[in-house]
Amino acid sequence: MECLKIIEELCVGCGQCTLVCEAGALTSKWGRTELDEDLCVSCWVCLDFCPVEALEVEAL
Amino acid sequence: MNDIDTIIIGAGIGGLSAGALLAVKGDHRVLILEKLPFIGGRCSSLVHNGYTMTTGAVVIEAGGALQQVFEELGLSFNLRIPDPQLKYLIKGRQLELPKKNAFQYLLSEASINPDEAEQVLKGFRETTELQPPDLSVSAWLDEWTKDPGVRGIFRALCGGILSLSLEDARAAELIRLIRARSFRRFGWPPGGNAQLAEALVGVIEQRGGQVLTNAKVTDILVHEGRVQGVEWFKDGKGEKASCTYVISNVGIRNTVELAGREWFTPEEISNIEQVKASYTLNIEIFSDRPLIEFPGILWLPMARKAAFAACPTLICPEWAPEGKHMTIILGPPSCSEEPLDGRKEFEPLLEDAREFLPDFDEKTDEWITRSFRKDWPGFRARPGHGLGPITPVDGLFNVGDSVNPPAVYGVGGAVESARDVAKRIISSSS
Repeated sequence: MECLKIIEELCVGCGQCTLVCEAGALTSKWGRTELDEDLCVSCWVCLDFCPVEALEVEAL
Repeated sequence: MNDIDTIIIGAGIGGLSAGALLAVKGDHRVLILEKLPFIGGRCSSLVHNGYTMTTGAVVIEAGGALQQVFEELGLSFNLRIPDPQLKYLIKGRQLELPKKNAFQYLLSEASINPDEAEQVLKGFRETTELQPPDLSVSAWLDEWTKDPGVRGIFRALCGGILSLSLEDARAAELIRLIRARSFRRFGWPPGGNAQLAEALVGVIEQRGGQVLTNAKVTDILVHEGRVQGVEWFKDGKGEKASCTYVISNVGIRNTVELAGREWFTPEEISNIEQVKASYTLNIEIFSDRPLIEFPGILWLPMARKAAFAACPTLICPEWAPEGKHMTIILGPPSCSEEPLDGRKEFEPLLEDAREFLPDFDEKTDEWITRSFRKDWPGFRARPGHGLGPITPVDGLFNVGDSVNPPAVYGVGGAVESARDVAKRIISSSS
C-alpha cells in the first residue's frame, strides 16, 4: 500500500497540487498544504505539478 | 537529438521568450526542457473547477517587454485592459487618479495632515542619494513623516509593485520605479496566462524547436569552463544532448547546483546566496457576484496587509463558470524570509478581505489561501537585486526574475533578461 506524503520543509503552499487534485484530497491553508488521506485516490497527478518536489509517495 | 544550438532549462516566461527570440531572430534550433507538466512557470494558469487560476503573475503589463517581444515575433498580444485601470480606496471613497500631479493628489487625500503629505513629496523630489544606499522605505519615511495615511500609500505600493513590506523594500528602488512611471497599464489575457506561454511555444515549434514537459534536468555539462550540453530525465529514462549554449530559467542558485559549484568563485557563490526573493500571499475567492465593482485594481492603502484587490472575471468572464466570479486580494508577508508563520501572516489579509470586500461571505463563498515563497516565490530576486545573466561558464546564461535589470521586475524583468541573452548569443554566434 502506498500513500502520499507532504514534505513540510519543502512545501511553499502555492496550492498548485490542490488545483489539479480532482478528488479534493489536497487543500491549501495558511501557506501550507494539507492532505485528507480518506479522499486521496492515489492517482499521483499532484506529484508532477508540485514545483518544489514537496510531494512523494511513501510505502506503508 | 542532434544539431541543437541552444538548450533552455525551464519553460518560464523568460526561457520561452529567449527560445522564441533565438529561433526567429537567430535561426537557432532550440530545445526547452521543463520539469513540470505545463509551460509558462509562474506566468501560466491552471483551470480548477472551471476557474482560470494563475500560477503566479497576477496582472500582465500592457506595452511592456512581453508585449514588445510578441510584436517583434509577429504574434498578437491579446490582453483585455480594464478601464479605469486603478482606483484607491481611501477613507471609504474609491478615488480615481487625475492625469496631472497624481501622486501629490493621492498622498494629500490619504494623509491625516496634508502638511505631512507635502513634506513627503518634498522628500521624494529632493532625494538623490540615500544613506545607507539600501535604506528601507520604512526608514526613509521615518525621516519625513509619521502620518499613517501617507505610510499606507507607500505600504500598498511596496506590496503591490515590489511584493515587499515597507521594512523589506529598498527606498531607492521604490523611488526609481515611481519616477520611471513604469508599469502604467495592465490587463488580463482572456485565455489565462497560459495563453501567452502557448503562443511562444508555437513560434519555437514552427522554427523546428521543441519544448518537452516532464523533463527534469539533472546536469549542465561543462568541460574546461565551456558548456557542452545537458542531461535530463523524462519518463524514467535518462537523456543527453550537446549544444553550443545553455540558458537556465530555473533561478541562479539552481544553475550553480546543476553546473557544479567548482565553476564559480566563493565570492560569486556568496553573491548568489545573498539574492533574496519577494514573497506573495494571495486569497482567491469564488462567488456568485464580483466582490469589487469595477474590473481594474482597487488599491487598499488603509488595509493591514493587503496591497490591492481585483476581480478579473468582470472583463474575462471566461475565467469562471457562467455567472460566477473570482476576486483576488493579495499582499506580501511582513518579512519575505523563512520561517514564515502562515497563519499569523494570512489572518490580517483575511481580516482585510472581510473589511474591504463587504460582499465577501466567508461562510458561503469558497476561498483559498496560496503563498508564493522559497523556491516558488513572487519574484526570485527583489527588484534592484538581480545579478545579471552572465555566468563564469562560457556559453551558460541565466534568464528569469532572478536576474532582473534595475527598475524591471517580475514578468517584465524575466522578459528583459531573455532579450538581453538572446541578443548576446545572436551577436556572438554571427
